[in-house]
Order: sequence, then structure tokens, then C-alpha cells
Amino acid sequence: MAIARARLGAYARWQLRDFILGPGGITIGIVLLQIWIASRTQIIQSGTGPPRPPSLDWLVQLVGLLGSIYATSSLVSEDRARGYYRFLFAKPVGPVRYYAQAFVLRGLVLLVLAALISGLGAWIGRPVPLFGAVAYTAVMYVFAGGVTACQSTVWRFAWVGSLILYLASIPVAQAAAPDSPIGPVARSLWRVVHVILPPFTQQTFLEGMLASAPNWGDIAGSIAWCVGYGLIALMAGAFVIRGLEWAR
Amino acid sequence: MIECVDLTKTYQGNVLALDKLSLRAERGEVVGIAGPNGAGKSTLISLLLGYLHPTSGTVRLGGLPPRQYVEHYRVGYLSELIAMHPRWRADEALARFALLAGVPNAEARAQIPALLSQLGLDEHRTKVVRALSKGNLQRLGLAQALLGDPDVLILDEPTHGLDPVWLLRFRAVMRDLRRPDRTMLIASHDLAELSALADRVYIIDHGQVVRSVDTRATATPEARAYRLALSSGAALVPSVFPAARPAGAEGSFELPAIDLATLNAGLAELLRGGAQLVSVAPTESLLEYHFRDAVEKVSA
Repeated sequence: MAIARARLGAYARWQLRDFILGPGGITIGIVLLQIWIASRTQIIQSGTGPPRPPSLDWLVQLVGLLGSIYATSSLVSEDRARGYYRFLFAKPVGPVRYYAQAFVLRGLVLLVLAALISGLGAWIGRPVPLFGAVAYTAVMYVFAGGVTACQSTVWRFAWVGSLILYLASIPVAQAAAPDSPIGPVARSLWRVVHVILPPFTQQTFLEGMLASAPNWGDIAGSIAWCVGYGLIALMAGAFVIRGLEWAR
Repeated sequence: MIECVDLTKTYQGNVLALDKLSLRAERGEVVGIAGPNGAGKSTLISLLLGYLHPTSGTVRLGGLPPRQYVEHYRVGYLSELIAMHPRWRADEALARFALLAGVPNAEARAQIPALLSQLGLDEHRTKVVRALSKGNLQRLGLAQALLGDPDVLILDEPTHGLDPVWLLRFRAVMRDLRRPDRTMLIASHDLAELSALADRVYIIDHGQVVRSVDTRATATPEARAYRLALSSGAALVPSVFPAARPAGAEGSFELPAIDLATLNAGLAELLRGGAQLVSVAPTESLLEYHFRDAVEKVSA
């Protein structure tokens, strides 16, 4: 019996193509449309200065959060629900390696998109720092993409789960905050929930990465929390895949 | 090569799909799996590929747990329902699966056109999956299973959706696939196909192997039903075979289950009486007989 190994690296172009023809392409289309609209819009900020196109920071934030959730929502669940796994994993390929590669490739597309927003922002006169845009998207992708990809191993509506977690994290963060009007015992309980829930509220701090001169010292904790949470979610996803019963 | 020992699979809700099922398929052997709907065939195949985990018992491919074997040596697998992305082109689908099967580029360039040609898909190579007919899709599924020349082939209802012309060609393709170092397992409802292709057929029902039939054996069961056709002397039949029933055309009879000695004695008597025998044949193949007998016994 000769040992066989899938040529997964060479298969990357097919994974990339599938993504571009699906959620990736739609995301790229929406981003380009928004940049085009921005390029044709002139606004006066703070009531002074000449009219300028609106800032594109929000577009990077959109790609970082919603783009990451959208890109990873069907990562595993589609193959499982549609039965594509049957032929894919009868070949000498481990599902964890297969999906890890797909996850990385989808993330790279979003990073390129963030760089594109930065470049086109400069072109229309509203630059977004290239490093900040790419770093912010990378952190958000590992975090929000990791949380969503983990859920996609067990159900088809991972994007719904991530949006629910996002919405739930806001009041929980408020209840757990030191200035919360609730009592100390309840606040301690909410703090536990706050730590368990994905730290979506750290996004506000992460947005500091998009400033022209970010204060990395202030942001480092949020970056570590989000990246750590995302990596743990990804490891949990890999663990689920390894023990998954694909057939139902 | 393939070994299941006391394999049990219980689904949620305590549904027992396999119940201490044991079977073996050796290298060079073609083994068939037959059984009524819901007998546990698909569950068995999912367990063989590691897509399900057994509740108890063991399953081994080449002495290894299924996923370990598949991920190191590859398995040629054709599922009953062909699930491929509808936007993939036929030739592209094979190119993708060749990469996943670890087939080097040079080999893939030779193998893919050869398989497309062998399975009559040349003219459909540029069609997307959703544009393929059921039969063409089935053949594309078989083509992807054969990529990389795997030592283990697991085919679930391989003739599902094939037209009569391809049903015949399929048998020839299957015969060509037989080789001393390859193990083939075919699950099918088509007993004639299994009789023609398999060395041994496991009949499973209610999750258990209820019989193992050696299709190469010449021994006939103790009693079988026969169809008898005479060109003359039909009037003698009721006296020689009192249980015989007329069967359609004049001079045709069905003989309920009788043993070989009684059949031959009766035929000799008919011939002595001047009857002209046209044909005598079992009403069902050996496998059909065993299948019916085994399943009926389980139901009883």
C-alpha cells in the first residue's frame, strides 16, 4: 500500500475560486460599490474646511466584522449539509487541514480587500492607514471569523449565532462595567458572562488601529483578548471536526 | 482488508441501525452488500469511511481505523446520491478530486481524459454538474472514485440512474477494475448485478448479516422453484408435478420449491412419457433465492 497525500497546496486555487465566486465576490462587490459611492459624495466635516469624500474607516470596520462573519459562516456547514464531504474526505485529506487552509485563504482575501480600501481611499482623498487597515482586519478575522467558523462546524446558521452573540455582548458589557448601576454581586456575575462571551465590544478599542498614529499600548490588551478568543474558538472548531459525525 | 467485528450503531432516539454486524472483505475480493431499504447498508458504508463512529464494535481498513486509512491511503468511494457542487464543470471536478487524491499532475493529465472516455463522458466534459443527467452524474461520480487507482473501492448503488446500455457497460468496467491487490465492496439493490460481479454477498437486514452467499459456489439450495416450458406433453405435467401451476404461455409451468432429485425424477418421467422439453430454469437466481429466504426468515 503506497502512502498518498492530498496536494492541498495546489488545491488552494480552487478553494480561493469557490470563495471569490461566492461570499468573497459579493463582499468585494459591496466594498467597491461603497467606495464608488464615497468617491462621488462630498461632505463638510465639523462645519469647516472644503467638502471631501466621507472617511472609509467604517468600510474597513464593516469588512473586519461583517465580512469576517460572512466569509466563514458556511465554511464547514455547507459541505456537511449538502453532502459534499462524501467525496472530499474519501480522499487522503484530513478535514481539519482542509478547512484550516480554506479559513486562511478567505482571511487573505479580506486582507487584500482591506489593503484595497486603503489604496482606493488614498486615491479619492480619504486615506486609511494601510498597516492599520490590514492589521485591524486580520485581528477581526481571527476573532469574529474564528468564532463563526467554530459555530459552522455544528450548524448552518453560524452568522445568526455570531450576530446574536454580538448583540448580546453589548448589554452584558454595560452591565459588567464598573459604573454599572446594578449591585456588586450582580455585576460580578455579569462580568463572568462578559468574559465568557466573545469580546465583540473590544471592537471600539480596536478601531484605534485605524488612526494615523495608533496608541498601540492602549490597544494591545484588546488585540490579545480578541486574537486569543478567536484562536481558542478555532481550536475548539478543529476539535469538533476531528470528532464530528459527518453523516446524519 | 476490510473487517467489521460486532459493529453496532445506534442513532439518537435509540434507533438501532447496525446490530453486532461482522463481515470481512479480503484483498482481491469483490464483496457485495444486499439488503432491503433501511437494512443498514448506508450506515455501514458511512462507518467504513469514518463518517460515523460505531457505538460499539470495531471497523478496520487495512488494519487501521477508517479515517486513518482513508487519510493515508485514499479510498475510491461512490455514494448513492452524487453530491458535487452544481457549478463545477465535469473535467474541473475531476481535476479538483485528482489533487485531493494526491495524483501528480502528469498522471492526472493522462488519467482524467482516459476516465472521461472510458465512462462515456467525453462530450459532457465541459458541462457543469447541474446540467448533467442522472446517469452522466453517476458516471462522473464513478470517475472521481477511480482517480489515483485506489486499493479499496466502496461503491454504494453504483448503477443508480444508469440507462440499460450503461448498465451493461458498467459490468464490463467493474470486471476491468478487479485486480489481486484491490478490495471492492458494492452495496446494491440489484441482485443480478451483485450475482454477476461479487464473489461473496452479505445479505443484511435489520442491521445484521442474515446470510453470506458465495456466488461462485455451485451447490444449489435444497429446494428451489423452477419454470418449465414444454412444446408437447403438457398434459402430463399435473400428474408428474401435482403442485405445478400454469405460467402464462401454453406449455409453461411454475414448479413450487422442490429438491433437485424430485425435479430430475419428474423430468425423466415427462421425457419417458414423450414430452418435449424446451427449457427448465430456476425462477430466481441463487442470490435472489437466498435473499428472499433470509429476509423472509428474519421477518417471520
